Amino acid sequence: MPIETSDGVAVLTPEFKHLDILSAKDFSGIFGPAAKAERAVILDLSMVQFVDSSGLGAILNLVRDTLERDARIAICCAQPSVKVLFRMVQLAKLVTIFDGKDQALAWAKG
Amino acid sequence: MPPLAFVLPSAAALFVLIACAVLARRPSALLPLDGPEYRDFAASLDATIAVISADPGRVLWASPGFEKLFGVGPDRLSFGSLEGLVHEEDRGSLEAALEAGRVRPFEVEFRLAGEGEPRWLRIRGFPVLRGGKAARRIALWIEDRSRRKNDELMLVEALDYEVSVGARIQRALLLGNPEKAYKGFELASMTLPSQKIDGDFIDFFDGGDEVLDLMLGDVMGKGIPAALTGAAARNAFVRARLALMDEAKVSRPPVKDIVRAAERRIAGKLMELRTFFTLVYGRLDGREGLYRFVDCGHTSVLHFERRTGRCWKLKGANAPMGFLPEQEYTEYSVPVSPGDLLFLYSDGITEAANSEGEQFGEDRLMKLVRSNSGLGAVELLEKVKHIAFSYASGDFKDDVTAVAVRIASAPRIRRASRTFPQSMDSLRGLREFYRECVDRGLSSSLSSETRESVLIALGEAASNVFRHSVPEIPGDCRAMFRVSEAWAAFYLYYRGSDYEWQRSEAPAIESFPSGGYGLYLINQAMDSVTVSPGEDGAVRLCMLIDLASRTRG
Repeated sequence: MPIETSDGVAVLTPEFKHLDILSAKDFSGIFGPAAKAERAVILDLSMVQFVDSSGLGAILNLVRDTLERDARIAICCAQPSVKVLFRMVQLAKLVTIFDGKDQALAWAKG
Repeated sequence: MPPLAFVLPSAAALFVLIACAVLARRPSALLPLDGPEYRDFAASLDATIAVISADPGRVLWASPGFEKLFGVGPDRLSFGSLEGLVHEEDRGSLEAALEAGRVRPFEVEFRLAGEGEPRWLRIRGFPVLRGGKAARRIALWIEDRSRRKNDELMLVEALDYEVSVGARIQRALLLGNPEKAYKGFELASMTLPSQKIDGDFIDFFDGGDEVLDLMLGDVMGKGIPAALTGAAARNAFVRARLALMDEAKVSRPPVKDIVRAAERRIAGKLMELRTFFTLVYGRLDGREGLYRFVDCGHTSVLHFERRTGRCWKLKGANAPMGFLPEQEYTEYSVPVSPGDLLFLYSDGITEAANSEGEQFGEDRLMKLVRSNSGLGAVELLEKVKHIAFSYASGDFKDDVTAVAVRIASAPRIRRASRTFPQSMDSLRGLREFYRECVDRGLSSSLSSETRESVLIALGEAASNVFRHSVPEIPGDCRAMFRVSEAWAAFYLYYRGSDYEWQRSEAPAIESFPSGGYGLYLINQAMDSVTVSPGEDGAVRLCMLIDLASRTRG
């Protein structure tokens, strides 16, 4: 699972097609520790086609852990289906959501 | 002293002891009544005591008051010849009681012979045994029951009157007329009044164009108050429906609106009166092939589904009307097909108990309806009546009210189904199946965003089923998609639990909830979610999108 770190920004790109009850634990195991050092985290969801409530729970845990250590976190490149879920739960109240990765990187470095 | 074979009531026992003690000393004498201790004792009792010979019933001794009671003195009366003394209809029972009284205590009520108001006496008799042999004497405890008996008779008369009035109230005010033929449906109803008046009420409203509203309610308690409340409730619904039709200029106001409007008319009064009723108000739409209903704590509606050959319990989530000043009503929708049957009933059937006290129960009723689903609506009700009546030995504690409706209309339906092992390993395959169904069946009627939200909901539902219903023996579940012009329904037939699916509040995202979104997402995307238990652990999950309402909305 790609985790790229540069200039204090970690870009996490899960390669799960489905981030759901079957994969949520793996997601937390892989990306939870990786996001604990950098001042900003970008979650690139371009590879994820579907997120269910368990997957959402794993994302929320990542967001909470990042914000609790006063770091920043953003999400980018979410597929249409995933965007629908985020709208339904009003995730934007907690996390900045960008369509493109470049926008997210600029925000993280800014 | 002669042995007493039985433990007797205290005052009677005391007197018999005294009488026997005296008799033991003077076995054949008629005791004088002028002894001060006996006179005072006897005068303090609300009864007359006598000792008679077992055969031929001669009075050996009697306390003061005997003559006043019988109209003749003890020396001129014999219980061996009751003609002219006892009412002819009661002679047999008194003779039999006296005969039995030679070996065991007895109690008998009878009328004295004579004109005018009958005088009722009650005798409790106790054999005075000698050495365990049949009694030569019987001690009698005699009470005048005329006043109490008359009170009892008046009470019975009043109750008969109440039952009679109640039955008339039910016929006139509580029970709608189902005799009319409704196009698209075969309909029958029955009410068996119990010995006490109940507040069951039913009604039918013809919405035209193969639309039929059915209402069945059950008021708390019994008696005329319950019947009057039932009449008021029925009236509230009739008026609420008419007012909504008039205000909105529509022939069929939404079911939920009717219930809410009726609530406004009556819930406050019910709370003041500290009473309530359960109710299921439903609408069958033959052309759409849909049954919409609001359930206020009533017994389940049974849905026999011909397609699967199974019976399912339809249950809502609202409280009985009168529990709360107002509540948010949830309307559910379930597709119905030709040959399907809806069975609405009051708890008088399911709570009918056999001689061991075991209730007839919902599961037994469900089996009965399913196994007789081939009968016509009238014949089915007859069958249920017969079986339940036999089960309860004809002794229903509550009214038995039931309605059976068979659906005849057939809207055009497209469908798809697939079977999966009931396990979390099937989750992604099941989601893929639902995606194919949505893409093929709903791409023209729902926006892509709505379709995605539906797929999210379907995934959540499947996940819930696989997580909470793990079969002890591995088995399959069956997913099904059915779509008409008016609705789209996603089914999952599985084995397991019917845990609470109705909660729909969104968790506060700011608190980083670790769970709780599943049911919220399901209820956000679907117009109706029903989880219906069937027989032997089978469950039907039906998630419906009301395309017609969305188009109208």
